[in-house]
Amino acid sequence: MTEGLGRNAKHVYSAYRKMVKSYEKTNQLMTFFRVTAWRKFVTHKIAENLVKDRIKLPRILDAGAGPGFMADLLNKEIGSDVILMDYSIEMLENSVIDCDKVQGLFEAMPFRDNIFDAVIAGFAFHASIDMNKSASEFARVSRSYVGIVSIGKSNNKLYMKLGKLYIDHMIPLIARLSAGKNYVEFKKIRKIYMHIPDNARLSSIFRKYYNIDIFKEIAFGTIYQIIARKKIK
Amino acid sequence: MRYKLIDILACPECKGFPLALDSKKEERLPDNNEFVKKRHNKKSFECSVFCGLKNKSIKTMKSQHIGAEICRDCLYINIISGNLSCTRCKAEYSIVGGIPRMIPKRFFKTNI
Repeated sequence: MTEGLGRNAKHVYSAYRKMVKSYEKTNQLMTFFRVTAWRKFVTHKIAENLVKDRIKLPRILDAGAGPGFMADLLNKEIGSDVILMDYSIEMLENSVIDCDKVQGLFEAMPFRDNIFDAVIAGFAFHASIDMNKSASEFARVSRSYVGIVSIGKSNNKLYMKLGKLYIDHMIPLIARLSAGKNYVEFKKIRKIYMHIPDNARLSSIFRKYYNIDIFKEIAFGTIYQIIARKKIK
Repeated sequence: MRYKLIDILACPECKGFPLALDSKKEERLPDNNEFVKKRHNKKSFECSVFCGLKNKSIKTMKSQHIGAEICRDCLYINIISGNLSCTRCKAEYSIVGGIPRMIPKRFFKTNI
Protein backbone atom coordinates (compact mmCIF):
# COMPACT_ATOMS: atom_id res chain seq x y z
CA MET A 1 0.00 0.00 0.00
CA THR A 2 1.24 3.49 -0.84
CA GLU A 3 2.13 5.60 2.17
CA GLY A 4 1.09 9.12 1.26
CA LEU A 5 -1.78 10.92 -0.40
CA GLY A 6 -1.94 8.70 -3.50
CA ARG A 7 -4.96 9.59 -5.62
CA ASN A 8 -6.18 12.00 -2.95
CA ALA A 9 -3.36 14.35 -3.94
CA LYS A 10 -5.55 15.93 -6.62
CA HIS A 11 -7.95 17.30 -3.94
CA VAL A 12 -5.17 18.55 -1.68
CA TYR A 13 -3.08 20.05 -4.49
CA SER A 14 -6.02 21.95 -5.91
CA ALA A 15 -6.63 23.32 -2.39
CA TYR A 16 -3.02 24.54 -2.08
CA ARG A 17 -3.40 26.44 -5.35
CA LYS A 18 -6.41 28.30 -4.01
CA MET A 19 -5.02 29.20 -0.60
CA VAL A 20 -1.99 31.25 -1.74
CA LYS A 21 -3.14 34.59 -0.34
CA SER A 22 -4.21 33.34 3.07
CA TYR A 23 -1.61 30.56 3.34
CA GLU A 24 0.92 32.14 5.69
CA LYS A 25 -1.57 34.05 7.80
CA THR A 26 -3.55 30.86 8.43
CA ASN A 27 -0.33 28.90 9.04
CA GLN A 28 0.66 31.40 11.72
CA LEU A 29 -2.74 31.24 13.42
CA MET A 30 -3.01 27.44 13.22
CA THR A 31 0.36 27.03 14.91
CA PHE A 32 -0.19 29.81 17.47
CA PHE A 33 2.57 31.81 15.75
CA ARG A 34 5.13 29.01 16.24
CA VAL A 35 5.55 28.17 12.54
CA THR A 36 8.51 30.50 11.92
CA ALA A 37 10.34 29.22 15.01
CA TRP A 38 9.80 25.62 13.89
CA ARG A 39 11.10 26.39 10.41
CA LYS A 40 14.02 28.34 11.86
CA PHE A 41 15.10 25.42 14.07
CA VAL A 42 15.52 23.29 10.94
CA THR A 43 17.24 25.91 8.79
CA HIS A 44 19.57 26.82 11.66
CA LYS A 45 20.66 23.19 12.16
CA ILE A 46 21.20 22.77 8.41
CA ALA A 47 23.21 26.03 8.29
CA GLU A 48 25.33 24.86 11.26
CA ASN A 49 26.15 21.59 9.49
CA LEU A 50 27.02 23.31 6.21
CA VAL A 51 29.30 25.78 8.00
CA LYS A 52 30.92 22.89 9.91
CA ASP A 53 31.59 21.15 6.58
CA ARG A 54 33.04 24.45 5.24
CA ILE A 55 30.73 24.47 2.25
CA LYS A 56 30.85 27.97 0.81
CA LEU A 57 27.69 29.23 -0.91
CA PRO A 58 25.91 25.88 -0.73
CA ARG A 59 23.33 24.90 -3.31
CA ILE A 60 20.00 24.33 -1.60
CA LEU A 61 16.72 22.87 -2.81
CA ASP A 62 13.61 24.06 -1.02
CA ALA A 63 11.28 21.21 -1.92
CA GLY A 64 7.58 21.96 -1.68
CA ALA A 65 8.76 25.51 -1.16
CA GLY A 66 5.44 27.32 -1.36
CA PRO A 67 6.42 30.99 -1.37
CA GLY A 68 9.92 30.05 -0.14
CA PHE A 69 9.80 30.89 3.58
CA MET A 70 12.26 28.13 4.55
CA ALA A 71 14.71 29.13 1.81
CA ASP A 72 14.46 32.75 2.88
CA LEU A 73 15.33 31.89 6.49
CA LEU A 74 18.30 29.78 5.43
CA ASN A 75 19.48 32.42 2.98
CA LYS A 76 19.47 35.06 5.70
CA GLU A 77 21.62 32.86 7.91
CA ILE A 78 24.14 31.73 5.29
CA GLY A 79 24.31 32.98 1.70
CA SER A 80 23.24 30.17 -0.57
CA ASP A 81 22.21 29.35 -4.10
CA VAL A 82 18.59 28.41 -3.62
CA ILE A 83 16.16 26.74 -5.99
CA LEU A 84 12.47 26.59 -5.15
CA MET A 85 10.44 23.60 -6.28
CA ASP A 86 6.71 23.29 -5.78
CA TYR A 87 3.72 21.75 -7.48
CA SER A 88 1.80 25.01 -7.24
CA ILE A 89 2.73 27.62 -9.82
CA GLU A 90 0.60 30.12 -7.86
CA MET A 91 2.80 29.64 -4.78
CA LEU A 92 6.02 30.00 -6.81
CA GLU A 93 4.77 33.15 -8.50
CA ASN A 94 4.20 34.69 -5.07
CA SER A 95 7.65 33.78 -3.77
CA VAL A 96 9.35 35.96 -1.16
CA ILE A 97 12.84 35.27 -2.54
CA ASP A 98 14.48 36.08 -5.88
CA CYS A 99 15.86 32.82 -7.23
CA ASP A 100 15.18 30.11 -9.80
CA LYS A 101 11.88 28.28 -9.48
CA VAL A 102 10.78 24.94 -10.89
CA GLN A 103 7.41 23.24 -10.90
CA GLY A 104 7.95 19.65 -9.85
CA LEU A 105 6.90 16.76 -7.65
CA PHE A 106 8.77 15.03 -4.82
CA GLU A 107 8.26 11.63 -6.46
CA ALA A 108 9.87 12.64 -9.77
CA MET A 109 12.33 15.41 -9.04
CA PRO A 110 13.63 17.14 -12.16
CA PHE A 111 17.26 17.33 -11.02
CA ARG A 112 20.39 15.31 -11.60
CA ASP A 113 21.92 13.15 -8.87
CA ASN A 114 23.79 14.60 -5.86
CA ILE A 115 23.42 18.18 -7.06
CA PHE A 116 22.29 19.88 -3.83
CA ASP A 117 24.31 20.31 -0.65
CA ALA A 118 21.06 20.18 1.28
CA VAL A 119 17.37 19.67 0.66
CA ILE A 120 14.94 21.44 2.97
CA ALA A 121 11.17 21.08 3.15
CA GLY A 122 8.88 23.15 5.34
CA PHE A 123 5.35 21.90 5.89
CA ALA A 124 5.37 20.07 2.58
CA PHE A 125 6.53 16.47 3.00
CA HIS A 126 3.15 15.47 4.44
CA ALA A 127 1.64 16.22 1.00
CA SER A 128 3.69 13.50 -0.72
CA ILE A 129 1.83 11.24 -3.10
CA ASP A 130 4.17 8.38 -2.18
CA MET A 131 6.42 8.99 0.85
CA ASN A 132 8.82 6.13 0.14
CA LYS A 133 9.45 7.35 -3.40
CA SER A 134 9.75 10.95 -2.17
CA ALA A 135 12.34 10.04 0.47
CA SER A 136 14.38 8.16 -2.13
CA GLU A 137 14.24 11.17 -4.48
CA PHE A 138 15.32 13.50 -1.65
CA ALA A 139 18.31 11.21 -1.13
CA ARG A 140 19.09 10.99 -4.84
CA VAL A 141 19.34 14.74 -5.43
CA SER A 142 21.07 15.64 -2.15
CA ARG A 143 24.79 15.28 -1.50
CA SER A 144 24.57 15.43 2.25
CA TYR A 145 21.78 16.95 4.35
CA VAL A 146 18.04 16.97 4.58
CA GLY A 147 16.03 19.20 6.92
CA ILE A 148 12.28 18.74 7.25
CA VAL A 149 9.51 20.17 9.37
CA SER A 150 6.12 18.71 8.62
CA ILE A 151 2.75 17.53 9.88
CA GLY A 152 3.10 14.22 11.70
CA LYS A 153 1.02 11.73 13.63
CA SER A 154 1.99 10.66 17.13
CA ASN A 155 2.32 6.99 18.05
CA ASN A 156 0.66 7.80 21.36
CA LYS A 157 -3.05 7.03 20.82
CA LEU A 158 -4.23 9.87 23.05
CA TYR A 159 -2.06 12.41 21.25
CA MET A 160 -3.19 11.00 17.91
CA LYS A 161 -6.84 11.59 18.89
CA LEU A 162 -6.02 15.10 20.10
CA GLY A 163 -4.36 15.82 16.75
CA LYS A 164 -7.40 14.54 14.90
CA LEU A 165 -9.73 16.66 17.04
CA TYR A 166 -7.61 19.74 16.39
CA ILE A 167 -7.55 19.14 12.64
CA ASP A 168 -11.25 18.29 12.42
CA HIS A 169 -12.60 21.13 14.55
CA MET A 170 -10.05 23.84 15.28
CA ILE A 171 -8.44 24.25 11.87
CA PRO A 172 -11.73 24.92 10.02
CA LEU A 173 -12.59 27.50 12.68
CA ILE A 174 -9.22 29.27 12.48
CA ALA A 175 -9.24 29.10 8.68
CA ARG A 176 -12.72 30.63 8.60
CA LEU A 177 -11.34 33.63 10.48
CA SER A 178 -8.23 34.10 8.37
CA ALA A 179 -9.18 32.80 4.93
CA GLY A 180 -12.85 33.76 4.69
CA LYS A 181 -14.66 31.82 1.97
CA ASN A 182 -11.52 29.86 1.17
CA TYR A 183 -11.63 28.15 4.58
CA VAL A 184 -13.04 25.01 2.93
CA GLU A 185 -9.66 24.47 1.26
CA PHE A 186 -7.96 24.22 4.65
CA LYS A 187 -10.43 21.51 5.67
CA LYS A 188 -8.66 19.30 3.13
CA ILE A 189 -5.70 19.14 5.54
CA ARG A 190 -7.78 16.39 7.15
CA LYS A 191 -7.02 14.20 4.12
CA ILE A 192 -3.31 14.71 4.76
CA TYR A 193 -3.63 13.68 8.42
CA MET A 194 -5.64 10.60 7.46
CA HIS A 195 -3.06 9.41 4.96
CA ILE A 196 0.25 10.07 6.69
CA PRO A 197 1.87 7.16 8.51
CA ASP A 198 2.69 7.56 12.21
CA ASN A 199 5.92 9.25 13.25
CA ALA A 200 7.75 6.00 14.02
CA ARG A 201 7.05 4.77 10.49
CA LEU A 202 8.04 8.15 8.99
CA SER A 203 11.33 7.98 10.81
CA SER A 204 11.95 4.46 9.50
CA ILE A 205 11.23 5.58 5.92
CA PHE A 206 14.02 8.17 6.27
CA ARG A 207 16.39 5.76 8.02
CA LYS A 208 16.61 3.78 4.75
CA TYR A 209 18.51 6.64 3.14
CA TYR A 210 19.72 8.88 5.96
CA ASN A 211 21.45 8.78 9.31
CA ILE A 212 19.06 10.78 11.44
CA ASP A 213 20.72 13.29 13.78
CA ILE A 214 17.49 14.77 15.12
CA PHE A 215 13.94 13.48 14.98
CA LYS A 216 11.92 15.77 17.21
CA GLU A 217 8.18 15.61 17.82
CA ILE A 218 6.38 18.77 18.88
CA ALA A 219 2.79 19.86 19.54
CA PHE A 220 1.69 16.38 20.70
CA GLY A 221 3.44 14.78 17.74
CA THR A 222 1.36 16.65 15.17
CA ILE A 223 4.58 18.27 13.97
CA TYR A 224 7.99 16.63 13.54
CA GLN A 225 11.42 17.96 12.63
CA ILE A 226 14.13 15.90 10.97
CA ILE A 227 17.78 16.78 10.52
CA ALA A 228 19.60 13.96 8.74
CA ARG A 229 22.74 13.20 6.80
CA LYS A 230 22.71 11.02 3.69
CA LYS A 231 24.10 7.53 4.11
CA ILE A 232 27.30 6.91 2.20
CA LYS A 233 26.96 3.82 0.03
CA MET B 1 14.68 30.72 -15.36
CA ARG B 2 18.37 31.35 -15.85
CA TYR B 3 20.51 29.34 -18.27
CA LYS B 4 22.50 28.00 -15.34
CA LEU B 5 19.52 25.84 -14.39
CA ILE B 6 20.31 23.64 -17.41
CA ASP B 7 23.37 22.43 -15.48
CA ILE B 8 21.08 21.17 -12.71
CA LEU B 9 17.85 20.04 -14.37
CA ALA B 10 17.30 16.46 -15.51
CA CYS B 11 14.30 14.71 -16.97
CA PRO B 12 11.96 13.82 -14.09
CA GLU B 13 10.97 10.59 -15.87
CA CYS B 14 14.22 9.00 -17.02
CA LYS B 15 16.73 11.38 -15.32
CA GLY B 16 18.25 12.13 -18.74
CA PHE B 17 20.78 14.98 -18.70
CA PRO B 18 21.31 17.54 -20.13
CA LEU B 19 17.91 18.66 -21.38
CA ALA B 20 17.74 20.37 -24.77
CA LEU B 21 16.59 23.97 -24.42
CA ASP B 22 14.60 25.88 -27.01
CA SER B 23 14.39 29.41 -25.65
CA LYS B 24 11.57 31.44 -27.22
CA LYS B 25 11.50 34.64 -25.19
CA GLU B 26 14.21 36.14 -23.01
CA GLU B 27 14.71 39.32 -21.03
CA ARG B 28 17.94 41.06 -20.08
CA LEU B 29 18.11 41.90 -16.40
CA PRO B 30 19.33 45.38 -15.37
CA ASP B 31 22.96 45.70 -14.23
CA ASN B 32 21.89 46.44 -10.67
CA ASN B 33 19.78 43.28 -10.35
CA GLU B 34 20.16 41.85 -6.81
CA PHE B 35 20.20 38.21 -7.96
CA VAL B 36 23.11 38.89 -10.30
CA LYS B 37 25.02 41.17 -7.94
CA LYS B 38 25.11 38.48 -5.24
CA ARG B 39 26.43 35.86 -7.65
CA HIS B 40 28.83 37.87 -9.71
CA ASN B 41 32.42 36.69 -9.62
CA LYS B 42 31.59 33.83 -7.30
CA LYS B 43 33.19 30.68 -8.56
CA SER B 44 30.72 28.38 -6.85
CA PHE B 45 27.92 29.75 -9.02
CA GLU B 46 29.60 28.63 -12.21
CA CYS B 47 28.15 25.58 -13.91
CA SER B 48 29.93 22.31 -13.30
CA VAL B 49 29.02 19.97 -16.16
CA PHE B 50 27.03 21.70 -18.90
CA CYS B 51 26.67 25.29 -20.12
CA GLY B 52 23.11 25.99 -21.23
CA LEU B 53 24.01 29.29 -22.86
CA LYS B 54 26.69 27.83 -25.13
CA ASN B 55 25.00 24.42 -25.32
CA LYS B 56 28.34 22.76 -24.67
CA SER B 57 29.87 20.66 -21.92
CA ILE B 58 32.14 22.57 -19.54
CA LYS B 59 34.95 20.17 -20.47
CA THR B 60 34.65 21.14 -24.15
CA MET B 61 34.47 24.83 -23.27
CA LYS B 62 37.62 24.60 -21.20
CA SER B 63 39.46 22.85 -24.02
CA GLN B 64 38.32 25.63 -26.38
CA HIS B 65 39.41 28.27 -23.84
CA ILE B 66 35.92 29.77 -23.55
CA GLY B 67 36.17 31.82 -20.39
CA ALA B 68 34.40 33.24 -17.39
CA GLU B 69 32.83 36.16 -19.26
CA ILE B 70 30.21 33.67 -20.54
CA CYS B 71 29.26 32.87 -16.93
CA ARG B 72 28.79 36.54 -16.12
CA ASP B 73 26.68 37.16 -19.24
CA CYS B 74 24.51 34.16 -18.53
CA LEU B 75 23.32 35.49 -15.16
CA TYR B 76 21.83 38.58 -16.80
CA ILE B 77 19.51 36.59 -19.03
CA ASN B 78 16.14 35.41 -17.86
CA ILE B 79 14.31 32.89 -20.04
CA ILE B 80 10.61 33.77 -20.01
CA SER B 81 9.24 31.08 -22.29
CA GLY B 82 10.44 28.10 -24.24
CA ASN B 83 10.68 24.33 -24.19
CA LEU B 84 12.87 21.72 -22.59
CA SER B 85 13.12 18.27 -24.06
CA CYS B 86 14.79 15.08 -22.97
CA THR B 87 17.12 13.68 -25.59
CA ARG B 88 16.84 10.22 -24.02
CA CYS B 89 13.07 9.62 -23.56
CA LYS B 90 11.82 12.50 -25.77
CA ALA B 91 9.60 13.91 -23.01
CA GLU B 92 8.87 17.62 -23.39
CA TYR B 93 8.39 20.28 -20.75
CA SER B 94 7.35 23.89 -21.24
CA ILE B 95 8.75 27.05 -19.68
CA VAL B 96 5.95 29.52 -18.96
CA GLY B 97 6.38 32.81 -17.13
CA GLY B 98 10.02 31.92 -16.43
CA ILE B 99 9.11 28.72 -14.58
CA PRO B 100 9.89 25.31 -16.13
CA ARG B 101 6.91 22.96 -15.75
CA MET B 102 8.61 19.67 -14.95
CA ILE B 103 5.78 17.33 -14.04
CA PRO B 104 5.62 14.02 -15.95
CA LYS B 105 2.36 13.57 -17.84
CA ARG B 106 1.53 10.26 -16.13
CA PHE B 107 0.97 12.12 -12.83
CA PHE B 108 -1.75 14.28 -14.35
CA LYS B 109 -3.59 11.14 -15.47
CA THR B 110 -3.57 9.41 -12.09
CA ASN B 111 -2.67 11.59 -9.14
CA ILE B 112 -3.09 15.31 -9.67
